[in-house]
Amino acid sequence: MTEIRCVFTVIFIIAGLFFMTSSVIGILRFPDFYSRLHAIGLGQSLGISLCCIGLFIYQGFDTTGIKILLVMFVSMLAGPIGTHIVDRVAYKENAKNADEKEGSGC
Amino acid sequence: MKFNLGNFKVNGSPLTCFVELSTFVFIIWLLLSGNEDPEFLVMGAGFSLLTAYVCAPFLTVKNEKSGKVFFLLNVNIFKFTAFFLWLLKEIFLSGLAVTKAAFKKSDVKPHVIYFKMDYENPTAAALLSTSITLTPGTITLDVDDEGVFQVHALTEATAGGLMTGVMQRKIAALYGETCSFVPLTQSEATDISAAAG
Repeated sequence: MTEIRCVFTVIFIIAGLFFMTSSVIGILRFPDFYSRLHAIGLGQSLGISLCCIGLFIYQGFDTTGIKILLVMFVSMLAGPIGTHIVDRVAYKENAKNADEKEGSGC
Repeated sequence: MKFNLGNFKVNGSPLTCFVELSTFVFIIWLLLSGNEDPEFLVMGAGFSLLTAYVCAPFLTVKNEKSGKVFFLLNVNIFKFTAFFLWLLKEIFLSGLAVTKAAFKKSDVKPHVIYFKMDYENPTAAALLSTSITLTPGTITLDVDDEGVFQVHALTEATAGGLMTGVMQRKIAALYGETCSFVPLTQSEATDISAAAG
């Protein structure tokens, strides 16, 4: 039983790390400021959630496990607010998008 | 006996909101302490009631147009859990789309989409914009008083998933709203904002 739990834990954490890696690749490759924020959101929501789900499976359903789920829920609640504020400020300050400037963007 | 909570006014019964909040705080107390001594539980219950009494008026949000006041936690927890699981599935699917775009650059077509969803409860609008931002590939840029959402989308696939209106209708059902989903073009959205002044 413990082995099966460990297998699922490893699968979920590797999936989370895969999404975090592709988030970094996205930050480097996407053309402009707004697109890079999308890449950051990928690591923030999917990467952290999958890692937390993996740790929850490893820990089992007790007070520590529920605290891990609480961490996941709070990070999902707080992450978008930061993304939205950064994006809104850039939008109000007219940061350039990909059509206006080739290359490095922003 | 009349139950009075100072200046606390809400659409519905203030007592229900108070009970909901104190139960929520007490459950958090139980989870974080993990202690089951009777005197400890009594102390926790007392502090939950005190915290709920002090904090309940702060957890309300007012609709500026109709003047109704809504309580933040006033939502069916089972429906909310179902919505949350559905949202996790959506996050996973659009995460795959953004990952594909990170490796295949021709998929990236950043553009802004507009739609109108005029909720009466401001909590529903907040939940919708947070869910949109939480889903990779879409970020809410702005929501105005007329309920016009401006959403920045990374690829055609993530934009198409949002413009079917499934998420908007699910949130409307969650809060018992009756408004309908209207996709807009950029010029229509500008017209609505200009008409509202």
